[in-house]
Amino acid sequence: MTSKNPPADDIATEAEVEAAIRSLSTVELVRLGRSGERWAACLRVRGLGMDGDDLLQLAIERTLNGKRKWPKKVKLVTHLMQTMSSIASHPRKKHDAVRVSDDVGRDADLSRVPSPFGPPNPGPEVDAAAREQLDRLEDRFASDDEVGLVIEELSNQKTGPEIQRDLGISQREFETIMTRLRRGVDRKFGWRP
Amino acid sequence: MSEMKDLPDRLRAVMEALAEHEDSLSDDEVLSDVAAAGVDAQAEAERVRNVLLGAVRKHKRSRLDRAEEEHRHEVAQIAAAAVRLPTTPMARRARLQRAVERAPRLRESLTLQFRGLESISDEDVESALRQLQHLGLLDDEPDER
Repeated sequence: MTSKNPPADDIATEAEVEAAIRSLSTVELVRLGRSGERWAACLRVRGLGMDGDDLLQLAIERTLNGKRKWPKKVKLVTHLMQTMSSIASHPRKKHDAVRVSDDVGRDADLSRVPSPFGPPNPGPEVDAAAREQLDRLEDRFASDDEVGLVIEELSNQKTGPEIQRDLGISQREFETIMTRLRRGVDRKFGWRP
Repeated sequence: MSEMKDLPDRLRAVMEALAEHEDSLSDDEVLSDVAAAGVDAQAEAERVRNVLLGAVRKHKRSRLDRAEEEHRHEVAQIAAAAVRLPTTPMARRARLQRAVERAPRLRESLTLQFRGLESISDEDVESALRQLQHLGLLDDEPDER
């Protein structure tokens, strides 16, 4: 990634953002909604109460107020998914600070910027909720050893290639297991648990 | 699953992996997942579009609110400025007349704004003088001192 800012003409205006939203396809919109819910679920694990819609709105707000400019050469759906990822990933970074992006294509590590969702809440109730969710995940996949193993690997922060190597499976097999995991999570927790 | 030292961190790692995995899904996989979850893709798409457009509307409202607040502040500043204007309506009207005679382009803009200097009210005369003064377009005159 480059830290060089693109010319102002390359940055979408408010009207262009609105027009782009109106022309998003069904699958792009569904993808955005799912992405928002997935990232919001990550935040909820930390006790940060918000849902996918909150993240979508925040991504638009940051795009329009210039904190996370949208270069028009990037697809809006990609930009918004990256923005939500950036917002949701911040609290797990060091010091629970929020890294915000003030430049296109570059996450400026401003560190120490307060989280827009308030401080995380890593108290005993968050641990208990996490334990409960893990138990539910285990229950859901009790009869699917492959998914259970992948969950174990993912929880140890292993990447896809590492998991494939550890478990001796191909990428295709890994993707198939991930699909079962994804759909199982959706069925167990719903899109908006 | 083994006992975990930091449950939220490890659960979050799973959820983040799922979130990051979304990026790599094809359109067909997304739609298949939607169908598997029993969700109406069209309805969900419209719901998400409304969320996004709602955020745009909220941003616009907030921008307009800020602009209005700035305008109110500016007007208040003009009104509060220590101005030395003639004390009678007739003298203020004459003062405005002299100002536009010295700067004919002012007449054009004031005519546009008030449709003729002769027809504007005493309040508008005073307001125009204050605005001109705020803009630095009204020179002090000896009789105002």
